[in-house]
Amino acid sequence: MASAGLSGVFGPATFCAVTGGSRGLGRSIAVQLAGRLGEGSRLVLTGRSLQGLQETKRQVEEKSRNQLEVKLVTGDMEDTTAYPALFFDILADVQPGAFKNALIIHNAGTLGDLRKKAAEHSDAEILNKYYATNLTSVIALTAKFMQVFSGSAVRRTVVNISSAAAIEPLVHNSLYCSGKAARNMFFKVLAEEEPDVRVLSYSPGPLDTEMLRTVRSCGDKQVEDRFNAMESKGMILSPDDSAKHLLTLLEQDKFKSGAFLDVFDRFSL
Amino acid sequence: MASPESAQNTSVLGKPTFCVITGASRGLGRSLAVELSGSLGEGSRLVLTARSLSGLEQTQALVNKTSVSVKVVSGDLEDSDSYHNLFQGIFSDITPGVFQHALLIHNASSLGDVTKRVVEHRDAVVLQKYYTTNVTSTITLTARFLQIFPSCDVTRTVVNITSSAGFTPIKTNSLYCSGKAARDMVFKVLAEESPEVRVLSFSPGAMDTEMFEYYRTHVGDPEVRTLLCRLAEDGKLLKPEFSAQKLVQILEENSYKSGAVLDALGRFEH
Repeated sequence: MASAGLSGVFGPATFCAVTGGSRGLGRSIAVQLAGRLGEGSRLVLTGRSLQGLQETKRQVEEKSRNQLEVKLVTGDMEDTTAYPALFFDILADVQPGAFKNALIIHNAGTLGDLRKKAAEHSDAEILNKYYATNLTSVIALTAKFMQVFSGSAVRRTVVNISSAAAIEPLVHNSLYCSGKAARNMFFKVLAEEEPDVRVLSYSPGPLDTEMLRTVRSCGDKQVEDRFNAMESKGMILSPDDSAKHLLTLLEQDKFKSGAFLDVFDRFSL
Repeated sequence: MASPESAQNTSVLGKPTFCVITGASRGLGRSLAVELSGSLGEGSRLVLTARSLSGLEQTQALVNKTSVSVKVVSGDLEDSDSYHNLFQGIFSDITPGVFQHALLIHNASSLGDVTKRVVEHRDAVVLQKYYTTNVTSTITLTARFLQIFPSCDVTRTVVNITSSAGFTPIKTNSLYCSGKAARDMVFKVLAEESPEVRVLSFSPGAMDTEMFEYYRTHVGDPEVRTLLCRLAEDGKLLKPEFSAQKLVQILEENSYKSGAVLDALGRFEH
């Protein structure tokens, strides 16, 4: 386990925000971080469900040893008009010099309507909301994060929770695939522009979460077969294991900024 | 993989074709209209759409109307509330059975604010508008197009005008790069889901157009600007007519793998 004092990424005085922290991978990441964030750190968790966030906080506090400050911010990334207030809350009270590290993990994400093929996506409002939640919010929040933690005094890390869907066209997943493809490319541009920022797109693999259960019950046989095959190969991970792998990658700090890495090393792009 | 249309005597373009080109008021869109008008079969209809009605009318004047009737419909893809009316205008007066081929070319596109680095993209409303214009519009227009021309008697072709920016990160181009990446992926999924539809993403290369000129003079990153200026100075910019001809050639040959991303100069194929 990383010693808080040695870790450059999670050491003392680390600000860390995790979106979608109310369940699934977001919760696992938060709990794994709890054991590693050093003294004087702050963990901000966002999500739509206050109840979910509170449960995550409970698990985090059980695990943390440095009286970690945990802040909860409820909000819906679908609503762009709510961003200024939401982002203000996430990044509030950051005093200059208070933090040595700043880390943001864009984990919140939605699948979109998996019953629809691309040819059936005729409602522009639904599509606009989809890209607001999965793309626009991520960009605007990253911009705000970079603004609040500007300059070279703070070591900055930005993580994009991505998916193999970013590079593999999957039936019924035109929105999910395109949103992830867009995010990956966006973060590659960020990495080009800001060489001082550590940028990582991480494919966590198929995880045993509510999101996966939704995918598996979408009614498409091809999709069902694919996940059944993965299950029989032992490829469906616990989110805790995937979260641990992510934090190991961040701690080892060997990745090329902007890289897209997979939990199973199925690709490294 | 979709099997190519059995060409026999008439290439797919030579059939009576209903063809929509977005962003047809200038640049590549205009060139595509002109090139296609010379290739489309007797009884074809070309529907041109863009924001600028005067630009569309100029394109209309240049188009070869021997075999093709031309209709212009102005509208703004940034305004998704107006899509219903815009699509109605595009797809009006279609008598069933008249067209044997339907071709939709998503050419309209915007660069976004290329003066800005990621850290400066703080206005969510601006970002939303960007993805509405460049991604959402193409999905909903495609859905409507495929609804209007169901598969039975009509061959359908959908073209996504893209860019190497879809897979090459370029500084101050976070919006353009991510938008193209999203589009390319949407069309790959479409190709997987609908094997009876011919789907092609086509990268026309850097061309001598107003869009390029705007890009060259406004791009925020000095290295990128130098590169673009050099392209222009060295005479390496393609003429939009050239890129349009390349696309028409590819469509006529009709042997591309559905969902592929092809380059005008053959520099890559995804």
